[in-house]
Amino acid sequence: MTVRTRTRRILSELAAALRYPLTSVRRVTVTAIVAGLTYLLLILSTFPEMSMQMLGAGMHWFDDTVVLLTENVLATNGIFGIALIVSYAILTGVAVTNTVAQVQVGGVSSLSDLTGVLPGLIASGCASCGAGLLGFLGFAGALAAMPFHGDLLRVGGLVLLLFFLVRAGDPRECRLDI
Amino acid sequence: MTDDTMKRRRQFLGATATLVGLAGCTSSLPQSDNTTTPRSEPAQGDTRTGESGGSLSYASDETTGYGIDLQDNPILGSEDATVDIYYWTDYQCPFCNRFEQMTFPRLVDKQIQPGTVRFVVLELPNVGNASETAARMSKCVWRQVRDDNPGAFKRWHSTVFDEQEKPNTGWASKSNLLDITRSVDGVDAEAVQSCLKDEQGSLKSSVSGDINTGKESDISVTPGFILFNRESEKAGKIVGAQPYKRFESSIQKIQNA
Repeated sequence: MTVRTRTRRILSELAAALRYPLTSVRRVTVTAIVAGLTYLLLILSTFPEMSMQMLGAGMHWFDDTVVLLTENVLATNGIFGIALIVSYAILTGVAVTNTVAQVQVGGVSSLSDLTGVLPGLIASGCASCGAGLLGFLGFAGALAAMPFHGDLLRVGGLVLLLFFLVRAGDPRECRLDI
Repeated sequence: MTDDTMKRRRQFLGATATLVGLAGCTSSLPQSDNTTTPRSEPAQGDTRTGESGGSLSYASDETTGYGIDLQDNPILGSEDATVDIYYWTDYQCPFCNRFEQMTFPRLVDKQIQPGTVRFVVLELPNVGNASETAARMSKCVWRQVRDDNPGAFKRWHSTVFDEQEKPNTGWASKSNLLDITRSVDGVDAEAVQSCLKDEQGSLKSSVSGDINTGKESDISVTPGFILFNRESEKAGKIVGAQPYKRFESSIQKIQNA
């Protein structure tokens, strides 16, 4: 298989995976909700100790916490940092919607075919949240030592998630090994 | 401080960090003989520029009941204040800048100026190599102004935060920080430059001291704050650039603790 054919197939599978959540209002809604929740989780995990303190003092601090931490990511990592988090949140929404579809189409047994999405979700989730959690786990300075203040870690997670989405393709079709 | 006292303090700090991390604030310190009681008279070695001089800054050689050595750390506020706030900062930290711009002015107006809170600045360089340079320069500036013009430190400190750019982009290089220092009234940039060169050992040890005190208090990120009731010796922790209202309620809790 030539590089060009292989690339075309990868892009085609990725497009199929990304297209599926847009095929009905319900799927769009589920994807948006999961993406929103993932964004909140990722933003809160950028400074977990502060998030816990603020939310521990009352849920009325929730919006302040999200705004403050979004501003902090913007100040520290810039637009690129925010874009990475938003991209990861959207892709997670897509992955979850596709996983649900896969189960609906093929039953729970089809999860064995989901070597595509589930490991990707877990591994890339660790990479994306990890940047914030390192400080919480006592690795002060680890984030600073990372290239681009943790952005590279997040890019790695994102690439991993894309890779597994490509493997899964459209959840209504049989997975093709590529 | 005896080993027992130190051990008790570490146990207390560990427990405090765990509880406060979840609940927001306040925990208790076992009663200790090593108590610092509020003083109505300045301690020996204190120098102060009064409010008439436009500053609440002063220097002290005291070690607080919490174990913070004030000798090399800038202080702002009344020495009779009920509550101490120990503030670990990094001049490269964007969230510290947010605290400086949004919360600190209100803290000065409503808590420090009226005499409720005494505020102590400590260094926790954790963002990049230039953070250490800035931390050492901060120590040099304080050493230079603490006896005759302590209020100049706050001007320098605020100016550096005003000039802050994105972390690790070179803005906090020694030469640029010295340029910023030259623009601050009452701070002799050449003396600061000499201090950086001649006092490397003691600067390193002073900054390390701040970092270690932070570690003992489970402060590993900036901005990090310990609130300490000087009478009851109860303490709590706040991390991040939380809004003024959060500080206000935490100070109140600590006051009543």
